Amino acid sequence: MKSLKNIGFALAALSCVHFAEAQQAPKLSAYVQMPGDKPALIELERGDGNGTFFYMQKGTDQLMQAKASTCKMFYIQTPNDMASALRDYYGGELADARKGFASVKKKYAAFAGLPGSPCTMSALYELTCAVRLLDVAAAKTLSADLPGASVLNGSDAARVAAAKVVGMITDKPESFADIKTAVEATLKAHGRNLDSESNAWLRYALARGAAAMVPAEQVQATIAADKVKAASVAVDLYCQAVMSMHGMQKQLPADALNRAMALLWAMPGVQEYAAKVTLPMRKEVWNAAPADFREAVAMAHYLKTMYPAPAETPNALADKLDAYFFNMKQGTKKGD
Amino acid sequence: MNTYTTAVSVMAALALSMPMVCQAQDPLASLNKVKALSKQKKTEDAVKLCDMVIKRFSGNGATAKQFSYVLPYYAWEKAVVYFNAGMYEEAYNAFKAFMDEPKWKAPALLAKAKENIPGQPEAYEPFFTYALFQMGNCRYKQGVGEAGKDNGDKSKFEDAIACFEKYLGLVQSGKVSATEKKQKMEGQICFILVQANILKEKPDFKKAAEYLEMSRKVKGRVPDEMAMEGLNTIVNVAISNPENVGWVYKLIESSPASYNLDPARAARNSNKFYNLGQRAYKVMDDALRAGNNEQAVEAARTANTLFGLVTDMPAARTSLANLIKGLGAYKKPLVDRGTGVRMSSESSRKLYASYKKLEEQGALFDGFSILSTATIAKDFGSNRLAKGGFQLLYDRFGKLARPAKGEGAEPAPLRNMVIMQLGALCRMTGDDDAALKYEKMLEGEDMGDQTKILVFQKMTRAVDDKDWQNVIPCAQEVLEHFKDDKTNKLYLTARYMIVASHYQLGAWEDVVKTATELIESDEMKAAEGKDALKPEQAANYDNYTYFFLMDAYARLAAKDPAQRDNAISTFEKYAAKYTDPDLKNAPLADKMYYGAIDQLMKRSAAAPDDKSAEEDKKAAIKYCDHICKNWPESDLYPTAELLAAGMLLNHTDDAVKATSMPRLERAAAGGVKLGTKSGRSTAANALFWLASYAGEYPNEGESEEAAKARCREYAERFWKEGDAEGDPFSLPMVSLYLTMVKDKADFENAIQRAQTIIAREATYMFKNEKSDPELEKTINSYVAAYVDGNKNYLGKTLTLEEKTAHFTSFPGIDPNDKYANAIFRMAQINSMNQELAGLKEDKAAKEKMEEQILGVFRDMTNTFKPEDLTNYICVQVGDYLVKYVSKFPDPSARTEELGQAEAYYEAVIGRNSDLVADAKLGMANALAFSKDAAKQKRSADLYTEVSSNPDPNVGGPALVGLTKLHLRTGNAAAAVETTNKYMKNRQNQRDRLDVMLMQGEAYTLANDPKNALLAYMNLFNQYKGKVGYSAKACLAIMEIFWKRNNPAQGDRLQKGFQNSDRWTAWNTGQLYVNLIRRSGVEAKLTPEERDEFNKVLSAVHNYGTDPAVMKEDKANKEFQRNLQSSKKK
Repeated sequence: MKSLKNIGFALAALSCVHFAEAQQAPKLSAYVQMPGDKPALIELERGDGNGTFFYMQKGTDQLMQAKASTCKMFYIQTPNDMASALRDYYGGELADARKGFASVKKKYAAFAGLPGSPCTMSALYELTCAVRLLDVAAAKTLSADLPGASVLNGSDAARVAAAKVVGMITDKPESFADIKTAVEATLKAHGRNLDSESNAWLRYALARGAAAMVPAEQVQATIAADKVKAASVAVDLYCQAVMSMHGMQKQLPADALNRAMALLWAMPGVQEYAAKVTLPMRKEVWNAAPADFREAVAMAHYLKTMYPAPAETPNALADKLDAYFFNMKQGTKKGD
Repeated sequence: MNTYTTAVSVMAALALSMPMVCQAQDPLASLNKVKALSKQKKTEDAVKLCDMVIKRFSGNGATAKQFSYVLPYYAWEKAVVYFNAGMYEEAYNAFKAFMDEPKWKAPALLAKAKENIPGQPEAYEPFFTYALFQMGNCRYKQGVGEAGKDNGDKSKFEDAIACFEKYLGLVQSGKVSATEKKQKMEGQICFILVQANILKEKPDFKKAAEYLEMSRKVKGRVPDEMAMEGLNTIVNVAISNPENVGWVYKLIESSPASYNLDPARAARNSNKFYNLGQRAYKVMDDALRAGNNEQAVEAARTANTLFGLVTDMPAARTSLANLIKGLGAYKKPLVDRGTGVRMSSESSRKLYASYKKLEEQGALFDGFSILSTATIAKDFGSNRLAKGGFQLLYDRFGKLARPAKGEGAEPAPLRNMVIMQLGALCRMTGDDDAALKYEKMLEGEDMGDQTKILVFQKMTRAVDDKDWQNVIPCAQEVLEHFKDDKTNKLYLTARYMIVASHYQLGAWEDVVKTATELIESDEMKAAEGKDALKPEQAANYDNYTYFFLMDAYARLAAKDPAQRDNAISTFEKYAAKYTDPDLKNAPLADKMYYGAIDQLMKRSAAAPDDKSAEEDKKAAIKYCDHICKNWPESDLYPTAELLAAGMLLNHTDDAVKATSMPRLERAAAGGVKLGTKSGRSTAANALFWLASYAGEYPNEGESEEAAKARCREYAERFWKEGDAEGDPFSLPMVSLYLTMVKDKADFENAIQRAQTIIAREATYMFKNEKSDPELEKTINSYVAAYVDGNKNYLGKTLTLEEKTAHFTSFPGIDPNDKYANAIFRMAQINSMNQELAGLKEDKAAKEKMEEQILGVFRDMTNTFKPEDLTNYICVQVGDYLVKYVSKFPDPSARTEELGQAEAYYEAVIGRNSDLVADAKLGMANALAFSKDAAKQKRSADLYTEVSSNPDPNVGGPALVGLTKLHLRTGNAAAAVETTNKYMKNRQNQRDRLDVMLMQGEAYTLANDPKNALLAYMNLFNQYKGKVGYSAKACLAIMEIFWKRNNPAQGDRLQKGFQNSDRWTAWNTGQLYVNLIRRSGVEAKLTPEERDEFNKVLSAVHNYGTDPAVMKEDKANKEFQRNLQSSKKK
């Protein structure tokens, strides 16, 4: 039975018109244990995009095929170029990593959809880099066309769904309703598997949608009374995005904090109050200050603490607001 | 040992290629033996064998020569054996010996080795440089000590660093072998240098960071395991010292393979990262409390970075599941070629299982990280960020639970805590609807100890909302929950909040009741333990309780002056309790003293006699001194100096008055130093007084002229340091400043200044619908100064048209400001009246001037209709007209002005909004002048109506007006009744002296000399110093006695002798005159007082020259002389 089955595979492989091309294409090495067989290191020729892989039978020039899901072991070795991109990725060099993953994705396109495929995994990492770098346009295109996306499961699948929502950011007032619907659908489909970072993406996208309802010129000056609620909702959502990241990454939390800070600074009465305050800030003055003013200042201080702007691109508003910060914990004892 | 090719493997390969016969004796096979012995821990034997081989084959024999090229391998292997045995000192020496041995470096020997060892073209040559690395490695191992034991010798790290740095130099300059170059070890060397620099006795984080940065850039990758291990070392060292906490995030951020690895691998470290994050949080918390903001920021960022490394549970789950599936049943560890990551199916399964268990138990690392991150945000003052964190926990981490502590214990779910916190944060951020939703969720929940906290939080929410009405029942609920724990800080806070809420609500009687109960209970005390109040907290609450009590009494005193005594006695109890001037222990001490001063000054002003008034003033000055001495940094310091100075200025003794000058100086300087609005106001007051009085009290040795020049300086300082819109001293200062003019330049400057300030203040009053008699006074001063100054300094006599033009379009005054413009017109009229008074002889000019005045007046009342003016202005103009009319000998004849005044008042009464009582009083005053009985009746009715008003500014004057009306219309009985009513209810109000005088008049009119005498005596005995009144009373008393004319009764030698009324009349006046003269009061009499005093003098003279009086006085004196001489005898 066993030999018959293999022959069957071989025949099927021979019928593949791309045989010659496959020979030229880059290969992948994988530990595979086929049913009834021992684990072996084999060279993968390509996949069919749907979980089937092709390999050359040892000692012959016969191209065989098998379904990865039937294997007791299926582990694709990380190719060196992907390992290099991963190093950049984990080292925080997201722009370099993104380029590396894009190239790996392309190079191993023939293996898309196999479990642990460098093509699919690189595509996922590339998408992650794009969102982390807040490249909304890339998030949209990459998430829409992710090779082998169908085999992604758990938090990986949830991540692609969350990135799709990020791709919906248009900063137009009407975007809020669409994003809200998409967020609800994503939570319904992937709720349990959504990791905190993906959840942060959803909250961030929603915040951008809410903030889009406040005209940009009002954010530069003072927010009109009828837009205060939308601004406040946006601030809360940005805060949720920051907290959901719980210290991971820098770009998204810093961006969310900056946007929330700008909204709070433009809230009615905040700038007028700031103009009246004499520095250094005193406890009584801090306590009596409007809540939006204190929040704007606290957010500036948090931003400067956790995600300081590089010296070459100073954050003037954060610097200005931080000067008003008052440490309310000073002088308190434990248990206070 | 590094993976670098060892001598053993090379030799083993060689030996296999040799004939079997040689293996027994030649050194090639022995190397295998060395390795075997080393593995069996037979270190000594292995070393011995190396030495033996080297010794045996070091000779000149043929065999020795044949194998001499392998001897360096034995020398090297000896070092390796020592190293493997952990004998690092010996290994170090052996590596060094190898490196320094010239024999091994002989070119012929090396060439032979290269020739004879296949596949090793460099033979043992790499060992010469590699030995340096190994020496560094030995020293490093010595520095670290044995695993799990703290027995390292940290001093060895310096040498390790020296070796590694030297070796790194060789590698980077290409001075190492090709084999070594191929190894690409730069990254690893840098990384080991990072660790050595951190582990040495005095860690050098800066250098470590430099090497870390370098390790990312140089050739050769740091293996993940090494990176992870190294980073653990770094973090543990850095975090153990709060000063270095910031290095943790800097090092993590610049590390080659950050902790931020794929979730499946990072999952192994989640617990560790979280715990390290907590350690960093503790450093942050301590630093924040200590006010060390720099360290707090560093620690916060480190904590944030570490919490960020905690893996998200869903990501770990997915990643581990995929790995387990991928590895399947493969049991051996598998190393990924690309990443070098070592994986094992079994350990992955175990980890997956433990994650699953953790999830079931609610030990969600990512949830805890969010919780901690939110806590940091809250500590950094952002309730919105914290709310965001708790919202996430509520939305996505419903199962979050604190892990069970101890055997058999259950995890503690945190759901209710999250809801509670979220509710509280929603409250704090103004999202009340959401807050209510979460609070309701907890209703009926068994919150255990939290129930009490929730009840307390309900109270604090009401406090935050300033919903004082609601605070009280909430606080009472708290008291109920803590009734058996009365030292608990929450119980005591609630007790305090009840008093504070009553205070906020203005329920003064309730403040008195609850504050007195709290003080008398003696419960507000600090105690041991975390649930009790700290001493400073207890002192704070207690201080405020006393403050509220004192202030409540003070406010009640407005209606019931007796309460002022309670306010002062509350202060006295406070002062006896808090004797330590340190504001840390008695935080409101300065304010309490200030409050006491205020109360004493008010009591003094209303004191029934001069003595008690003086005593209160003395006490007030003493408390001012107390503030000045103990709290020179207090906001109240300048005011205390000012108040003391003010009281001293009122003293009769010039020497005492002079002591106020330096106090005023200090008040001015202190006010300016405060830099606040109230500080500037204090400075304004002080500088005004200095400018007014410094000339009268020159410094020691200072000429009068110099002192006056100083007045001018104070005035100039006033404009710079004190003047402000709405300041009550700005207008008086204008008047004063105008008197300081000496020449043309002064005049022009002062006029300019006066115009600016008058316009500013008039506009300020106009905008705020305020009025101030000072504006009128100042405008009067200005008008006079302007007219005189033009004449004196510019040689220009202004025509009526010029004056009218200037005063009707005064620069800066809004033409719509009827109040100010009306005052200008009135001022102009006043000025013209003065001119009129100067035209005594010129009848024609006088008539012309009178006509002109009338013209301006008519024009004015035509211009300003009552309906144009605000209530304030109407009342002011009406009052002005009434005042104007009252100057005429027969005011009732001025019907036009009185009619106009009535119209102004009528407008206000008709509007029935504010100042109605003032307008009714004014109307009554206007009508009272009339001779028409109906108008007089309406006047009396209005006076009676207003007299029941508790406001002393209208109620008192209404009774005064009514009395005057009754006196004028000869209604003696009603006049007596009115004065008695005043004396009964309003005896402490400001017009009481007028009323006392009128009471005497009323009794006189009622033909009741006995009571008239009592009334006058009452005034006379209490207020001799107030000559304007006492002189009148004295004269009235003298007249009553004179008129009664009872003769002397009895014998001088007998008891009960009484002088005649006429002698008594003269003697009363005589004694009074002597008192006023001797006390020095006479020299300071105002012209009006002088007139009254002269009347007494005249009466004393007249009565004293009566023969009967002279005779009786002579007899009295003779009798006194005889009495004294008989006593001497």
